[in-house]
Amino acid sequence: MAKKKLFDKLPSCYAGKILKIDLTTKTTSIIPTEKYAGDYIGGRALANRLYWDEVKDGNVPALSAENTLIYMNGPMSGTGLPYSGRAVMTGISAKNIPEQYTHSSCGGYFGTVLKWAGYDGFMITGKADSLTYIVIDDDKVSFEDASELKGAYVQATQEKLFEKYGRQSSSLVIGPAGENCCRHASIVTHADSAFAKPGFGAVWGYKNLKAVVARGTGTIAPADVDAVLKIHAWEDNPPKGVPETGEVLNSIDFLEFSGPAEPYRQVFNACNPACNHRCMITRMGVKNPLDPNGGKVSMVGKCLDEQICIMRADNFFAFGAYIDFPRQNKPGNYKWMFPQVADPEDPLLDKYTQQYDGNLLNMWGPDFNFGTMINWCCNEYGLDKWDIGFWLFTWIYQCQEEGLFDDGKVDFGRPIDFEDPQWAKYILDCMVYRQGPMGDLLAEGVGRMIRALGKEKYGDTLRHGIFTRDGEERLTPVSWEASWGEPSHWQGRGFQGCEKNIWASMNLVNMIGARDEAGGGHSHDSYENYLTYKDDPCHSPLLIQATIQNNRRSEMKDTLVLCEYKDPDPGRPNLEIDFIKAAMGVDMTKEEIDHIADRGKLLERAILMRDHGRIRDMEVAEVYPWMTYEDPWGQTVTWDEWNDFVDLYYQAYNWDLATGWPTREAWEAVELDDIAEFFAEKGKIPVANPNYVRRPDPLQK
Amino acid sequence: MKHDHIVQYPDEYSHCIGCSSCELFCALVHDGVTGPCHGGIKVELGRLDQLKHKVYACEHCEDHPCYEACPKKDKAMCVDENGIVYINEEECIGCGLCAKKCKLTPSRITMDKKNKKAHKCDLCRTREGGPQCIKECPVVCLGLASDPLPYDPKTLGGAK
Repeated sequence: MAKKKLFDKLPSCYAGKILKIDLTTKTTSIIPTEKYAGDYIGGRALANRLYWDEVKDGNVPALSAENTLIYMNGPMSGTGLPYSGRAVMTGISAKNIPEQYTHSSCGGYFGTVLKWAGYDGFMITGKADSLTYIVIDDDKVSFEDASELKGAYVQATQEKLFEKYGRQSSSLVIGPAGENCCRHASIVTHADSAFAKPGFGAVWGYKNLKAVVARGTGTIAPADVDAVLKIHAWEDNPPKGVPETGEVLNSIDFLEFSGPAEPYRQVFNACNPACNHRCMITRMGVKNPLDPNGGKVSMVGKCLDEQICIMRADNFFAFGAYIDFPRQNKPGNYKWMFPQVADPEDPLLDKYTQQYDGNLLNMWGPDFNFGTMINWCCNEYGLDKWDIGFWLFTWIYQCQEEGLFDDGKVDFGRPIDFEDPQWAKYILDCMVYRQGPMGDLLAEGVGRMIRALGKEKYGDTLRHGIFTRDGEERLTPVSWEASWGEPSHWQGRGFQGCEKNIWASMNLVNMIGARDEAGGGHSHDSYENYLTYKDDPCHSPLLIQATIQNNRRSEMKDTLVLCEYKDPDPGRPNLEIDFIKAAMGVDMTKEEIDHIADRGKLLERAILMRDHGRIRDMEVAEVYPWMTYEDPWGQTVTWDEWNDFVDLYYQAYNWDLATGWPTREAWEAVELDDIAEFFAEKGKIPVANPNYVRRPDPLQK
Repeated sequence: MKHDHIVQYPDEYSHCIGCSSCELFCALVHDGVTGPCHGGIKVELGRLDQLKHKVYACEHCEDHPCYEACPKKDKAMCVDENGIVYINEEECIGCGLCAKKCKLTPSRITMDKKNKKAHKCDLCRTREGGPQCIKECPVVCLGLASDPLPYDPKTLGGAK
């Protein structure tokens, strides 16, 4: 495909500049957005290219002055397009094992305000000599002493910055977890939107960066206001109005779920400016678990809070198959995500809709105070809820159930008590403030802690008493780590026991990157395709194509940047085309969009190859062990089966089977000729090897 | 007495989610851009641990001190036959007197100092379908003062 020039002049939906910040020297410089936007659009794809160009050697520790973090908006932020205010951050993850380049995305208002200040993004390198925050106030950038914010909770920090810079400012901040370099630390902005999973909060903490504040007086203009209006109106579907609104106006009485819960009110939330998706994820009037006076707070949750605490409150740690749920306007993984539209005569309907309760650890009962404590501590300390809720506490629970702590060698300093919210707080205090006998280990993150304690015992011991849907005992490790130091997410074991075609696809996505593809990358495909490969997914070119399509949607979701709750949307297959046209005024075909998505994806692979030695054996061996444990249907993969699947994927992208490195043709197909040249000089342009012999199963003894 | 104007419904009726659609789309339909110095309706985000947001728009006061303060009265700041106080931006010189004289806090006049223009709510007087902010609000928390609430908040349950 010929390289398409997207525009002659940078569209007015861009601010036009990327700010380059050196914390060590407290200096800044400007990179024109125009240099990159025409080829990479924005967000993750642009950040990948910027990282490749600006960071010549990314083989540095995550917690180092040299680690460069890039924050990038997409062209949509600030245009009024719904669910488009998100942004991405890339850099070397403090949490990944091993540390490596990865990405995260985040909602909130900061991105839009940053664009009004004149910047599409910023990159930060260096390390300040003392705790600092950065103020981006239109053209003026200053480095401010943050000593008065030292140790402050996330929301107290944000409020102080509001007081100082006005409520039209916006900030990204870290809490005490970041300051103390806890590897699960997040960077948080408006109402619990956070860059969480890669532990970038710890990187900021190491760099002595407490916050970045933006305030601006500029403008952003979409190319076509009428088109933006139409899209906004389209999203308002089902139509707004009292039936839907009235429903959430009523308080939710949690007595129907469990125990003597204190009722509170559930309302919609908007993570981003102009978002009218109406996510029902705010609980109002919740007793603040950190306030001894019993003050009330409003608590935003996402997956953890909304779906588990509220919707499946009594089934938080279901170890069995947790099949997804229908949601208003929510795109589905498969037809079973839409039971309301499924054929009632469909013989597989039960499979799509049935939820398997599995083993039960009711973290939220009897009064929800335990789960609320976890949520609120994560909000205020600046911690990744997913890792804390789904990994740390399940790990403690499962180790306890298996008697692994009985010998007293692991001592948290306080008896484990899953009915005491103060115990949950104690554990998180140990982690965040590095206190108690396990504090430093906890702060290093669950994966590193388990390795330090001894992975064979404390990570790989099998948890008993969990059963498949057919009533067979299913053995899963006590630690739900799947790959790259990340807990399982749609990978078939642990919380989300989805079907093999989904978890195979999701593990493949994890394998070639360094983390899960959040939301937008969940496995999507047509029902018709599913029927063709459900019995043998790992040999299906159709599933490979679906996986690649999911890669692309995830890339574009993070490039434009959109919300994983909406993109892709089976109800609007031309969503990306429409959004690009409305915001940028550029006509792009699906193929052209996919082309840029592939370019972004390959750039990430280039960085992983250049800086972290990525090669086939490394990545295949990384994800394979998790899939050797039975899923809720008792399914696993064999080594050969998995490698067959990987072969199909590499072949589809024209990557070398032996190394997993893209061929010269693969680089050139997405116009990354300079990167092909770079790897040619390094001897990393593979040549066809007809004698390639697959490595034997490393788990076979 | 006040003329008709945009109101934020009581929280018991509908909770403003702070999406700022009203603010952004006001600026978009009037000026074709988004930005804090544009538009005639403003959302003030509440404390992040409370998430109770406030929406501010001109109340089209009968004594309209903004109009009285305008040095180009009836050319820049105007009042139409329905009592709607509006700005003819072509004539506005951005002196800011209207913003200073607004008796509401915060001032309901948005100043664009860069382009020396003032912006305020004109109730979308020339737009078919009425105020765009009401149309775009995804949770029906905005309406006209003259419109009764579609439902009595007391019958809706609200926070217990």
